[in-house]
Amino acid sequence: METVFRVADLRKLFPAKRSSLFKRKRQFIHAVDGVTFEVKKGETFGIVGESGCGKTTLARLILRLVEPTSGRIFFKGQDITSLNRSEMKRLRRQMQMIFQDPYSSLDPRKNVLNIVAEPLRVHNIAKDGSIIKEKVQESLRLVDLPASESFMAKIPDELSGGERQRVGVARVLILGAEFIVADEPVSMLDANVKAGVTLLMMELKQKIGLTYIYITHEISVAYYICSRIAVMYLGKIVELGNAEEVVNLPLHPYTRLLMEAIPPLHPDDKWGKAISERGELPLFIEPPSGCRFHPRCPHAQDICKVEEPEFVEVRGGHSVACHYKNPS
Amino acid sequence: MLKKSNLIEFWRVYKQRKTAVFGLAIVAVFVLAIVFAPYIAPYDPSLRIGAAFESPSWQHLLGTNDIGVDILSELIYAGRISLMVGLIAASLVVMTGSTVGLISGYFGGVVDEILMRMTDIVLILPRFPLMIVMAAYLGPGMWTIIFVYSVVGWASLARQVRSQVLSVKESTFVEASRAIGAGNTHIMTSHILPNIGGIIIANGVMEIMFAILTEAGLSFLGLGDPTHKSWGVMLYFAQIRGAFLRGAWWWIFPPGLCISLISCGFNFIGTALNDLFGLKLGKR
Amino acid sequence: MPLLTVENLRTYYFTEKGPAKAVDGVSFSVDKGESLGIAGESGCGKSTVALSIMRLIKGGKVVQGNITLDGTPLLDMPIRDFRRIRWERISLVSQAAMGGLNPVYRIGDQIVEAITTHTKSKKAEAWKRAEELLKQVEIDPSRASNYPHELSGGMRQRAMIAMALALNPELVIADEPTTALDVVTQAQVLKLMRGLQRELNVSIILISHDLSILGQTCDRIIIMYAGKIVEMGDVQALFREPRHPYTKALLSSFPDIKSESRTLTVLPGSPPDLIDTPSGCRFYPRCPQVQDICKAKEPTIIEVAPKHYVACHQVKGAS
Repeated sequence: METVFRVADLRKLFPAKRSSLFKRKRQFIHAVDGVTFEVKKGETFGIVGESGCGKTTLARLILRLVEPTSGRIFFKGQDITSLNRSEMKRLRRQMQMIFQDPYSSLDPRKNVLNIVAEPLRVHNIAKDGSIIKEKVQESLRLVDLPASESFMAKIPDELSGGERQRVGVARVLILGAEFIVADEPVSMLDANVKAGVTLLMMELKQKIGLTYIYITHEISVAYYICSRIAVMYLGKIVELGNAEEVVNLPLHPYTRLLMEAIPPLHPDDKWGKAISERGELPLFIEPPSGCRFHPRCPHAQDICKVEEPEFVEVRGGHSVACHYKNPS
Repeated sequence: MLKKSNLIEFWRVYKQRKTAVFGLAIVAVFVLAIVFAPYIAPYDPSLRIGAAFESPSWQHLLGTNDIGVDILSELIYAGRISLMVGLIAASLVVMTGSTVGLISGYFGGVVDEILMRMTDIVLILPRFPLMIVMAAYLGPGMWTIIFVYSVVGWASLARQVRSQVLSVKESTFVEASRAIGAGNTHIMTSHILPNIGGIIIANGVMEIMFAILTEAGLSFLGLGDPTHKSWGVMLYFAQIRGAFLRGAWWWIFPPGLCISLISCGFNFIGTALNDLFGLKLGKR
Repeated sequence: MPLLTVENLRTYYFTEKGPAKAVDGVSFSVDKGESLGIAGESGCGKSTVALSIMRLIKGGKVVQGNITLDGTPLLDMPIRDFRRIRWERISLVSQAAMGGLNPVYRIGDQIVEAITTHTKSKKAEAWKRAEELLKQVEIDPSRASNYPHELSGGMRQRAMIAMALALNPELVIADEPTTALDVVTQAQVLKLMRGLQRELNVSIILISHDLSILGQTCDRIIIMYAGKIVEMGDVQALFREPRHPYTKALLSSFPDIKSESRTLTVLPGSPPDLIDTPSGCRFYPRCPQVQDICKAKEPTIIEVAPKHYVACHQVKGAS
């Protein structure tokens, strides 16, 4: 399968506020600190992590909504890291984003027709009102929304959370983009609606042949929809592999911690037994030396405090960055 | 955005505020009277048709001034000038202020710094004294007043618009627009402007009020145009021609009352709009 | 005798188009030391139940119902007396209702304020108690002098729990206490709550849309839909053998990481209008097992197994 998208050693540093006027050395937040992965055509690549791990920043770096500090981004083999605005604009027809918050990702003053039609206008694809309407209706049908006049006249306030997200998806599909970055697309939706939009995304993938990068902190949803999962911690990918393997046979201690913490749907006495530590995900300005997870890791050894572990393939397609090589 | 159903809904919420409806009524009455001045005014205000300083009678409902001109007629025609100056001055202020606020807020950086420093300077200077000095220098007249008001008045609106723009700029839907490939112009016209329109309109209405009041004040001080009598100019003449000394209240109160009433009217409308648009912004 | 009883509670909100029947005939009880979960989608009325118990309803009214605490009726009590119940005997942890923590005061001060407004304690005493409480929720007591923004999300949540426990209440109502938290932090907070609950023998009502956390932390669970209770029972029994079609649908719309199959089902449609409620069973427009009787008559709650209650025409009651 061909590689549709690739990043190499991607980094994004944000300047941190100086804690005192006298500190000379400029401090940075290492939001994304050397991320490398590739995505194959037709797959759903999951990036999973808790808040503060850098996944939101990574989502924006992928589409160059935020400029990387260093590293390279490749789309369909082409290096897009330094393309200028008009070149990127052309590319944006093929790479799109679904946003997390259905309540703020739609312009409150526009109706459904204009929201979904915006990409057509921005790229000057259709000028004729009736053609625009037709294309919008096609898009709405794809996402199981009514393609009626009355629906297209509604404004976001008149739509439910699930409907808004579907409108967001319709907007993304209208130009025929096949590569979609979904940034927590269902995390703000209710259980049933969440399931609906998740199933929709999977259906669309089959129907149109989409490739997704699915970013979320909800591991159970990622497990459901993704073929491969990358686990992020403090700006780095610590584990990467097939969804089943990462979830059921996690190699990295952090991944293990995450999997233990997820409450199973059915009452389970064993849940939470492993959650004994008090540590929480800190926002490190200067990340700890060596392996970033060592302050919280139950298996930390001396080497972990000093040397950053390399990202190494342990089993076919399953890689991890950890000094403690668990034979299981 | 200007759909019929939107306007109907807007009116429904608007008319819940009694002060707002009252304000609209006052302004409407004035506007009608002013527009239909030739039909309503009993006499031609440029003609002397009565005796000087006649107190109100059935022939002259508001009496006459020092040269025998009917005050009621003069009042109605003066409304035209007051309102016109108010509208033009307010429009200029709104256009300048909004543009500065929009560019400053959207582009940020050096442009923002420069524009905001200019705004600060204008805000710091005392408005009224500055206007008086400028008007005195440029010579009294209607356009002078419009000019000095605009020069001094755009800054406060610029600041308000800028802060709104800053918050809209950070919205996810603007980010979504960029992800689609939209450029700055598209984002500014298609997303930012419609979302700050409410503030601009609400403030614009208040500006009309301030402009009318300012014009009245400056004219009273003699900086108005004697050939184009506004209510303020009427008061000026009342003062220098001895109406105060003679107790000719029919010359003094009516213009003053008109100024107050129409200001009240615009104030109520502006406050209501402010509330309404503020609500809409906060609504989920 | 149960600690809290709620009988036939009806709370309606006033809207221009008529009253929205947010809670429409809800009855349940909570025993001393028990942890009860209330689950349902947003708009089902679960938060309104909490606010009704705390008498914090705005823009609406409890139009009917009896709520008793240890036998004492709460709804008719003069508000002056009820203020002493609020926080001293029943407290609330909720992002929405209480606005969380005030960003301009240190967390120690906020706990102290809760204490001093209700008791005659002196500030120094109250501060000591605040530090004790923070220790109980596993926050270093020296953090009492921090402002909310200096704490992480999980710590803020635990500070709110500390505040809720300040006056040794008998019942704590927690409305979506872990919604904004990460999975690991969520697990920590839930474990903490469960631990404290057992240690202090406090009753908890835990409200959430997330069935999985309720399954792990509650003894009993209530499923609400459109202002009514559709199923209620022991947590093990309900998850193992859900009876109401809505409960079944809800359970199968959660992706379960521990299950073998990767299936997800979606319930079509959306919850009904609370103003213009349908006749009969409120769930009938979306029910896969709907029959004629469901459209005509509202089902009553019946006990179908020991302590397992369901409101559905299709479910046969226990004899």
